[in-house]
Amino acid sequence: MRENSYVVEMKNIYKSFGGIQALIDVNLELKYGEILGLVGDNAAGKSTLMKILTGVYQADRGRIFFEGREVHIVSPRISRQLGIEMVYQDFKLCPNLDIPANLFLGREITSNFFKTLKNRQMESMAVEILSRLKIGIKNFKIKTSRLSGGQQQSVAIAKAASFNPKVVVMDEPTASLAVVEIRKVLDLILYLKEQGLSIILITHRLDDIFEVSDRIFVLKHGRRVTIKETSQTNKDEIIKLMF
Amino acid sequence: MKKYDRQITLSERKKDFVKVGFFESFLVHPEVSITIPVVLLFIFFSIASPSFLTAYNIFNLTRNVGLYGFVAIAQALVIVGGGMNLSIGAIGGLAVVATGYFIQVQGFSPVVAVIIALSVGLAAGALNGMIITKIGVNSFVATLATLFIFTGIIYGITKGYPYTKIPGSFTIVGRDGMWGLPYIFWLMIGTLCFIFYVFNFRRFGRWLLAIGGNKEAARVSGINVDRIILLSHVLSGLFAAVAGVLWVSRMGSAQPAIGQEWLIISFAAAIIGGTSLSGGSISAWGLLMGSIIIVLIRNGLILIGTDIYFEQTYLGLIVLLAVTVDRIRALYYKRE
Ligand SMILES: Nc1ncnc2c1ncn2[C@@H]1O[C@H](COP(=O)(O)OP(=O)(O)O)[C@@H](O)[C@H]1O
Ligand SMILES: [Mg+2]
Repeated sequence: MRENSYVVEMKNIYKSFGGIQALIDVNLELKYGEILGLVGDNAAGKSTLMKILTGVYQADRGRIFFEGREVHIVSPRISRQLGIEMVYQDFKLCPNLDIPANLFLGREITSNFFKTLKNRQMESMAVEILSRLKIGIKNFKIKTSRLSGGQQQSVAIAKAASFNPKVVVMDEPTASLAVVEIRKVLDLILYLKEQGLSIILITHRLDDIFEVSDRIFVLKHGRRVTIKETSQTNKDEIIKLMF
Repeated sequence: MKKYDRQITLSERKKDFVKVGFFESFLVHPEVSITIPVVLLFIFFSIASPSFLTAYNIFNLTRNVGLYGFVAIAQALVIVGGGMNLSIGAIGGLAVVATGYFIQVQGFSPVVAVIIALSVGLAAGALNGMIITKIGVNSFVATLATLFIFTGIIYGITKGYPYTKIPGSFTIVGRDGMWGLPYIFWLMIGTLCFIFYVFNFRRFGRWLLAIGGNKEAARVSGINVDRIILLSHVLSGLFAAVAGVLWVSRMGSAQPAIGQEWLIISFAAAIIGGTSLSGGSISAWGLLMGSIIIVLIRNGLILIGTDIYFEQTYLGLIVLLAVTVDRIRALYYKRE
């Protein structure tokens, strides 16, 4: 048995930007293998809280525990090393690079001796990753700027999910997608949960949250309002808590 | 099951090559669109002037292509990461002065003087990179400032006078050649092969491209953006210094004014060669073609008897043309 049932614990996280208090002593716990929906009004602090977890921002105060150990996530590299990946609101892909280059960005496979990039190997692994996640893209060698929004988001998710992460954070992954594409992304999220990943999903689409999440965390004006089992609550209640 | 997946995907791979039409390919592959004007210009000047296709003129042309090629490489290396280097000419000038000073005044052997000159280029590039990444100024402002700092040092040391006591042996690289073409040209070709390798097969190149494409994405992917930017400026300084040293070798003297005309040429050659001004793209072949175009136009204009005093105007117009094409290319990609 695990001594601690939480994969991530954020304790008393405080963060301000100049005069704006973005987060005020927020506590967040993420269970192993769950999908946690993170909801709140615009500017509630959702993205900031997650960017602190992934090392994009540093909290002014507060502690983070990962698998029971305290960690200091001072850069995105550290969070990646721990096994925390994030899919950003505006897909954080390099538009000028192709899919394999984006998937492997920052962790390219190189030969042992000369450290030469093994492009062929990364390409065939990229093809495998895409087919495993059932992402149907034919021209994986074209620049990602030429992919549709949904395809780009799928690649961004594949990038976050395909290197054995423990936790994947998704910030509004469906915000700029068409309905058909949203369906695919939700299926992808459920598939990742099946694979045993712990997921934090930020979205303003409550339907999506109620469909896929196990628990719902409500943030308001930088403060934690509540955390509820999805089965124990309903949309109206969550909306009331959010505003 | 896994094996099955793999078979499907591998057979699919053949279909996955980008299929574009003839005219589209000009925009998608800058290498294609850039080679055609080179060929046309070559044919045009061959017909227009009988002295164009002489061994002497070709040797001279390719030597200039080599020199400006290094200048273009120095600029392209920072443009690709989304920046620019306004001080490349001044860094080249510093290397020129260092070469002349340590040979003539200090009496060092040319090899030592060259090593010092190249180190000066590395250091100057490192200074640019430090200002940009540590102080957080953008590359335009940072290198504008160092342009003046370095230029002041050049004239402070030389008082504007050249170093002329350069041993004849020093000019071998700059004046001789093999297989009918100058050493300088072959050196540049070798360097372009290195550039090709770096941007296709090294992490550094891949990461610099990523930074030029989307700096934030590169950062959240765990790339140490500052370190890569710094390194790109160090390399830019190095290649600017190489150009400076080669210039001394070609001229047989160290003129402090060398480098003053590099700025516009470096942008022109790099942008024409498919180095997008907004960053994120570079092409070794394009840099070669861009350098050839610049040299052909400068040389050709003289050969067909145009007024050389208008040269800067022509170069400006070429740059304008190049950025317009760059812009069209960007819009084309957006439309997709
Ligand atoms: N980099 C930043 N600089 C200044 N203020 C910021 C920054 N990031 C977020 N904020 C502010 O922090 C608050 C929370 O923002 P954010 O976390 O993006 O909210 P949400 O994702 O819930 O919409 C907002 O008031 C926002 O303006
Ligand atoms: Mg947000």
